Amino acid sequence: MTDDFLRGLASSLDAVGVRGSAARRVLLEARDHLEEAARDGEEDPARQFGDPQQVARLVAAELATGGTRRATFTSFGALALTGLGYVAVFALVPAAGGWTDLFGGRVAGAAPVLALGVALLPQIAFVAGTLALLRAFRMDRTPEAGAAELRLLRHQNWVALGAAGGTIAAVAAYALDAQGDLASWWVWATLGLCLALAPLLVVAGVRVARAGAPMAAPGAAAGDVFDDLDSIMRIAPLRRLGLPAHPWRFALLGAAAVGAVGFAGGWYAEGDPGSGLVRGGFEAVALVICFAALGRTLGLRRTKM
Amino acid sequence: MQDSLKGHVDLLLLSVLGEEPTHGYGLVEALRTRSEGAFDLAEGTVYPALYRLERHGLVESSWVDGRTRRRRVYRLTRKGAAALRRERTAWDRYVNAMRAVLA
Repeated sequence: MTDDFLRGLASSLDAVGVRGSAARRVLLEARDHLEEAARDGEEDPARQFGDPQQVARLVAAELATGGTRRATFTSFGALALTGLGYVAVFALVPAAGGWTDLFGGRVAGAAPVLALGVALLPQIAFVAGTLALLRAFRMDRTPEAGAAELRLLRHQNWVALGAAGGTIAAVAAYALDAQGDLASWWVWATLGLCLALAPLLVVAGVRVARAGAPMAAPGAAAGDVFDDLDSIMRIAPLRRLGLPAHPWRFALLGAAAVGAVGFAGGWYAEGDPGSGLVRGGFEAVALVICFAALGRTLGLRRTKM
Repeated sequence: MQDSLKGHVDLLLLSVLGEEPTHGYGLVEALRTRSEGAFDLAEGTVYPALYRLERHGLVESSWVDGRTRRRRVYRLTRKGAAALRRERTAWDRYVNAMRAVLA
């Protein structure tokens, strides 16, 4: 009787994506439970235990929430290390011989791709990773998240990890392109760091993929960043802006802020306001393009139901 | 009774674990005995609730070797004990308010 029930529970767990050590734990606990109940003289312990499909669904929903949340923390850890490596590499450029002309590299035509990879992808990784972390923290207060909410969280992680992977590929390509112009110790240290960081991103990606296996509860809509920032969005001046209903207003405000920072940074770094305008304009336009391309994937604007 | 019980399962589990660490079946039995049979859960649904409490850091568990087999024993964490105190206070306030209105 117990064995029949456990076989049914095992196949129900498998059907909802609960496998491996998680399934073994559930089955061991269920066996212990049923045997203890039988020893206590409980009538029909298997019936008392409940419908195996319902138990399996509840277990899967809980594992989906917990697993996706933990995978997000792993992912953010890998992103943070990548970010530190990125900052360290470029902080050492002056000591390795100074900045080289990106457009004077060995491979003709590589400069725009490298510039995008080195300048834009880290920002995408940072934004997507932060959005994922924000959502994961909010989930700490929720009993269990719905499938759409978890799917969005996994998408945010994928974008962040993908952009971080693209960044280290671009940094490695820049190091190879700058051979001869920069000290060889910097080139080899940069390549070594990129090789060390890549597996971390892969491991994080595997954890995110595995977290998607257990079937989550149906739940409500995925929501967006304004749900994740609900307590901040209730502050009167922000509430008056009506950003959740007008996400493009949010994008334009962000573009203006990023553009202003880019302008100030460019002016300070290059010493003339014209360079500041170019840099600020590039940053603002890039943000609007990224918002249009990735806004829904990252939950910056709501997915149409 | 069973429907209204659903919203309070976490508090009930924390309360039982506040007395002593125990395994899943022990929890179900304690709930049944203390409620004099009123809280008769579908027993298997206790485990997902325990996993959720574990995810929130309110409960921790480990395999313990018994005389005949290994079993998973759950115990309250410090965070869980604090949550139990907080939830008990909130529940007392709620019950007192209900009683005052219904009396």
